Amino acid sequence: MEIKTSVISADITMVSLTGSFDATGADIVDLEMRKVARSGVNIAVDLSDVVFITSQGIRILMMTAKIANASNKKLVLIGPKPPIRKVLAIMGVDKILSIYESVDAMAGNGRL
Amino acid sequence: MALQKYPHRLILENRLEALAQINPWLERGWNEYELPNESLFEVALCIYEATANIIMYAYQVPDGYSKAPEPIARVIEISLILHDDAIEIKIQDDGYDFNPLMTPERKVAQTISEASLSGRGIPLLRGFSDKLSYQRSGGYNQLSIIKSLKVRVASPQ
Repeated sequence: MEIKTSVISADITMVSLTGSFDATGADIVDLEMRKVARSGVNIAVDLSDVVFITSQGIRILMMTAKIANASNKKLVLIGPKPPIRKVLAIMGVDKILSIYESVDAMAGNGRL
Repeated sequence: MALQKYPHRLILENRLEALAQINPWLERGWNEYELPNESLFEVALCIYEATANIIMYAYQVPDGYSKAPEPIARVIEISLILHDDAIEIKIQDDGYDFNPLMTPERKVAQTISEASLSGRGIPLLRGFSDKLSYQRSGGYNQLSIIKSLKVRVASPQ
């Protein structure tokens, strides 16, 4: 799993994940995402290049969302492919976090 | 009745790093038996979640089991078995009695603060499989995961 972070506006940081979001390499992703969440910004997690996700990956997303929420910030998800989206739906993640098709769709919404 | 003579089989040590072997092994079996690609992701996820649970819980000494014999081999055996309209994954481990199907249903959270950080593996397993069964036999935990196939599988030559 690869992780890249980029600042896309004053209060939104994009975290782009690539590969399998599972227990392998989860520690590094967990650490990096906590770091971003603690910096007090909104987080957009780009899942468009994620090909596999397990409960471990979802746990990290929820943990990061909780940290962001504690400072009144949000975590949103961008571009999950259909199988990944199905996992998010079965886990009820789509009821808790906003999911956008693309960065443009998120920007078009006017807010996170 | 199973279609292939020998099941496609993987032996894993009970450590989380071993989970990385599941996807390449499953893809080899999938290609060999020409199974439909749309089911691969879901079956891989079922195996992954079930095996991760075994690694995390089946080798922990349960309360009140202080006199139980310790697992010896500490290995997990995963088999892919073809039926004519379904595939079956059998996962066997020599850990302590551990029935993953006894896990209570999780309440779906509506807010971030309500959301639980654990207990997501078994709901995923339930959500992506068509039939699950468990038995304890001969000192082994045996889990069977059935995934129906929309198209019939061609008999291997």
